[in-house]
Amino acid sequence: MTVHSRFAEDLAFYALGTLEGKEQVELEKHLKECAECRHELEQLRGDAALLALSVSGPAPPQRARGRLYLAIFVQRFAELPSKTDERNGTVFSRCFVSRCCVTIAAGPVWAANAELHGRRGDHRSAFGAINACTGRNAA
Amino acid sequence: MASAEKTISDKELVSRVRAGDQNAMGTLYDRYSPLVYAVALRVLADTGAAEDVLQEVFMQLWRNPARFDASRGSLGAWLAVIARNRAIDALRKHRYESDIEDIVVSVEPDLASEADRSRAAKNVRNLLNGMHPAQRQALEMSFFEGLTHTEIATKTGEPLGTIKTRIRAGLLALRKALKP
Repeated sequence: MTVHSRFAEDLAFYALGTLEGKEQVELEKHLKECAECRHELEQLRGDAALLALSVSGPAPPQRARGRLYLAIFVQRFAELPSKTDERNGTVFSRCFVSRCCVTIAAGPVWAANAELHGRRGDHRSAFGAINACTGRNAA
Repeated sequence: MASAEKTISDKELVSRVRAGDQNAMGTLYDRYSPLVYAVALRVLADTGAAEDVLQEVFMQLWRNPARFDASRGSLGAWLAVIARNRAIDALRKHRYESDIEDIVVSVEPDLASEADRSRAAKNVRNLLNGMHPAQRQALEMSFFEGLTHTEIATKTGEPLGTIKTRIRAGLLALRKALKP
């Protein structure tokens, strides 16, 4: 048995994230030294990812898109550089309060906008499907 | 999704996300959220928890787009694996150990187009339907339930060596199924 074939089956479980204990430690040690096995690991992870394609199910709810946009908006806002006011010997972020206010006020608007964009896409798809059925070109 | 956006490569979109382009993020979301959500839902069997995983995966992509190496893998496959790993973590109540998995996932074709994804999905389903039920069960227990080979052997009553061989052979068969 070559060193690679010794690890062949463990590599599959490692790719699936389910290898444990001593076998995991030994394989990780080997992977540090073996480019061939690292390449095979990438391939096996790709093979495992194909199992994901076998799944079909409902589309994510529309609100999930709005939720993501809101989270992105909040994060971007939080990352804006803050200015500090050191007059009177205190450090007070003047931006902080205004940021919170704007986030609270604008966040839902942003989310609603994102949801409306999603709905518009759905309506366009439905409209296209209707036109396809009736033989007309989609506008 | 507008037709022009459908043709933009994942690599280009990820590059735009790195520059803070939210529209590019929206296009990637429209392209891959059904896959990510479906995987999370299959693992967790809970729509609320699957939505949380969906949110987590795309927020991680927004925060760390540089972690995806477009030259070495497929974004669709990478997101599917991240979603599966996150869902398994949630299932087993593990804490997330890293910000995002530093992994490379190689799949050909790269699944960026709807046509590629549909074709690949059809091939994978055909292969799984033709697979020996015990092999398919072992593969699915490992991927969708995150069970170790020992746990699968205990659950199915099969020898450990048999489980190991079945899973590796099953993965290799999947690879073959997508070869042109």
